[in-house]
Amino acid sequence: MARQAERAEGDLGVPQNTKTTKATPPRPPSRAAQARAEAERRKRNRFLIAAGASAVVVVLIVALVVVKASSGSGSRTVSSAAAGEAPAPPQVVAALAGIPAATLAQSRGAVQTNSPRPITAPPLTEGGKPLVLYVGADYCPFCAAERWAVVTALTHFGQFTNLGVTSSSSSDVYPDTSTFSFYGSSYSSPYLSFTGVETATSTGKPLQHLTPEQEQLERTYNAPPYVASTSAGTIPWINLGGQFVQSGASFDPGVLKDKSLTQIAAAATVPSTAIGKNVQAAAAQLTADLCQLTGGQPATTCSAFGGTGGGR
Amino acid sequence: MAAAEASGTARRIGLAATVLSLVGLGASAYLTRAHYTTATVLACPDRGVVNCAKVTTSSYATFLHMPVAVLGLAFFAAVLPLELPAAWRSISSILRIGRMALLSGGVAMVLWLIYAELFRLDAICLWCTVVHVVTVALFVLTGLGTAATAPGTTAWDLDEVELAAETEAEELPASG
Repeated sequence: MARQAERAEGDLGVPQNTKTTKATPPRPPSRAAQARAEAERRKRNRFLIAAGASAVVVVLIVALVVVKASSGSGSRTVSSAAAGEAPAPPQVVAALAGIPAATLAQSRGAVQTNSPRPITAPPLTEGGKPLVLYVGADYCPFCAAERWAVVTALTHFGQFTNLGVTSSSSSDVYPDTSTFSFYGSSYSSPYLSFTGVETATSTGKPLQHLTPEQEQLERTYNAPPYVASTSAGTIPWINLGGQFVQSGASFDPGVLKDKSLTQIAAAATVPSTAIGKNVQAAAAQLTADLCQLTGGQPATTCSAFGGTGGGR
Repeated sequence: MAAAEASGTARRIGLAATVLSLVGLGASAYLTRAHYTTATVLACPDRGVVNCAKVTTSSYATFLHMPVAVLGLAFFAAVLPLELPAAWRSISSILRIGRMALLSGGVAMVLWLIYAELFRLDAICLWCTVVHVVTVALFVLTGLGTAATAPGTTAWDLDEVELAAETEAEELPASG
C-alpha cells in the first residue's frame, strides 16, 4: 500500500500533501518516472527489433515462394499445351509397355544401334534408386527417335504419368517426327528414378533449364572420353545411373519418317518392321543396361536379359 | 502480482517453445533415420514437386560434409534445453543471447535450404518443411519472448526500476 501510494505520487510528480497554485510551473518528471519511461522505451525497442527480424524472415520465405510460383511449377516455364504438346494416348504407351521382355531381348543387336557406353563414375542415384537422366529438346529429331526407345525400356520398369506427345521441328532434318515429350511428365518405379529435361519446344523456344547439378553432369559426361568426340555435347544425352552414358540417338530417325504416333507404336511392337527392329533393338540395349543397374529387378523384365543384363 | 505475471509469461513461452522443439526434434530424428537407412522409408510422395527422396538424397542434403538431417537433429537437441520453461525463467544473458544466436543460425540455414529446394532441386520435402516451419516459429517465438522477458522490461521489473530510482532520489539529499 505504502509503495502504491509512493508510486501514485511519483507518477504525478507531485507529493499529495503539497498544495500548489496555478502560477506554479509544472515540476519535471521525477527520476522514478524517467526511469520507468526509459525502461518502457527499451522494452518497446526490443519488441520492434524482434518483430522486425521475424517479419524479415517471413517476408523472405514468402518472396521465395512467390518468385518460384510466378516462374512456374518446377523448372517448367510454360504449360504443356503452350509448348505444343498433347497428352500421350494411353493405348500408344500401353503398346510399348506390352512388348514382351523376351521379344525385346531377342531384338537386342538385331540392327546396329548407337548404344550407351559403360563408364567409370560415381553412381547417379535419387531416392536410393539408380537415376536415369535424359536431356533433350522437343525440336530435336534425334531426341524424337530416342524417346521411343527410352519409353519402351522404362515402361518395363515402371510407369509414366502425364507423358506428352509432340513432333520435332518442321524446319530441321527429319521434320515433324512424331514422338513423346517428357516435359511435365513423371515416372514411378520401385527400381529406378527418371528425370527427363526438355530444354526447348518444337519451335525452339526455351522450355526447361538444367539444374546446376545436371549441368555439371552433362558437362562432364557428355564429353570425351565418356562419349565420342564427334557426338560430345549433343542431344539426346542419357546418363544411366552414372554407369552408362549415351550421346545422340540410338537409331536413324529416318525410319519414323511420315509416320503418325499410332502408326509408329503399332509398328514398334512388330520386330519384323524397320521401326520394330530399330525401336526394339535400342530399347533392348537400354533395358539390358538398366537390369544391370537394378540388380536384375524386376525379374519379369530382366530374366529375359539373363538377370543383370546378360553382359554387353 | 507483477512478479507472478512475469513468471507466468516465461512459463507460457517456455511451454510453447518446448512443444515446438519436441516436434522439430521428432521430425529431425525421422529424417536422420531415413538418411541412415533408405530415403524410401519416408512417408512422402516420390514423384512430382513433392519428392522427399529427391531432396534428402541430393547434394544439398549435406553441409560441410555433414548430413543436414543430423545437423537438424543436433540443432533441436541443443535448442530443447534452452527452450524449457526453467530456461526461460533464467535472466542469464549468456543463455538468452546463445538461444537467440542458435535460432538465428537455424533460420539462416532454413532460408538456404528452402532456396535450394525451390530453385535448385525443383522438389519439396514434406518432412523438411515441417522442420523449417518449426524453426521459423521457434525463431519468432524466441525473439518476441526474449523481448518480453528481458530483464528491465517485465511489469515487475518496471516496478523495480521505478522503486530503485525513487530510493536513489530519496537517498541523494542525505548523502549530499
